[in-house]
Amino acid sequence: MALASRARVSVVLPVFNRAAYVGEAIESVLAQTLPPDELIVVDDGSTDDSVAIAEAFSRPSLRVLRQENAGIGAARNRGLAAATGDLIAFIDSDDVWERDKLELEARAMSAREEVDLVFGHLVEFLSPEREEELAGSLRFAADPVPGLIASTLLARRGAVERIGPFDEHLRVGEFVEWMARARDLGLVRLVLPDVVARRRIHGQNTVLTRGSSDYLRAIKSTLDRRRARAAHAG
Amino acid sequence: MEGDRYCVNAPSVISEVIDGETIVLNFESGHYYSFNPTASEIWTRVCAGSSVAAAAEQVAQRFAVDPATIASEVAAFVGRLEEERLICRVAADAVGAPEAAATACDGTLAAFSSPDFEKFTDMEELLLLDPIHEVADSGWPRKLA
Repeated sequence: MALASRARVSVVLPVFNRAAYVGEAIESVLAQTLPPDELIVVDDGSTDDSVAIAEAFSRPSLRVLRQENAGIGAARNRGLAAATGDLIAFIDSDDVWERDKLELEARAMSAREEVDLVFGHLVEFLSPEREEELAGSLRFAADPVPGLIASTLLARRGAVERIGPFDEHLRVGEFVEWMARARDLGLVRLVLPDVVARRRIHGQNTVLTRGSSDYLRAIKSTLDRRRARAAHAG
Repeated sequence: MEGDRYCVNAPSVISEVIDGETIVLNFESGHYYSFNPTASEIWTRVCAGSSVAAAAEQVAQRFAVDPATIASEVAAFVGRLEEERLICRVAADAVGAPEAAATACDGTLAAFSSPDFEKFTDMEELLLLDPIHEVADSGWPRKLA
């Protein structure tokens, strides 16, 4: 069964003021050996050239949606609502996919029907324009590590629908909270040994105004949900 | 031990009381914790700069129990916090006067029970990867030690 050749693939790329990097992210999606059926760029209220850069690609498979700034969770949800594919992938606007990312993951999906979520490995790299400045001062994964992040994921639509939308109140930790729900649902995940994405370290990765306490909120909401479920089951 | 003082193992460790529950997260390990009310009180006092002995007294007062009976339990719990790398020992003269610690719980406290936490490791892989990417101003990406 050649699911890889039949399943429609949608890619959701949220962007907020990443004019310097979003073009490279989009190129890496369009250059896939298994090109996606649609790439949905969701602009989260950028005030720089991010939208113009995305629109300049003018490919039939690429759509740009725009919304008032509401955070990465809301932007991913907007993209999900518009996505029509059987398989859903995400890429963050500062990350870069390897050329065979979708092909490898779609093939794995095809071979393993029980798998709901496929991840791969990732490497981190210092963004070239800041390499000299940042080298030696930041810890990053130059060697491949299991990449349980949005940019490495390919998911079945049904799995995404079961997990539900990203928590739009969380400015960070939203993917952790989403994955905790996936885990609690018993969804099956697979991590391929291949490097499928490169994560850019540029020293300005989503500047926090709310601090990392959103991680604690993500954890609290996960604990509360589990307790409610246990109480219900008991 | 009784006179020892500690501080939060920042920036790796963050904590907050949310809806009356103290949640502690260690980005170094990817582990997270939920503290019971007694543990929350100890955490709040110790992290505010109280010595272990002073924290024990404050906790005893708070729960209306005899300080002598809980001192060893409090000390043992502080030892666990250190083992989990949630707190670091500091020189006594390195900390100023203890801050007026806010109480960990609002309203009536639960009855005294042995200080304890639940430790969770299920999101380790996710938590270890996530913050490096996302946080900048408040301590991330991490500086090399």
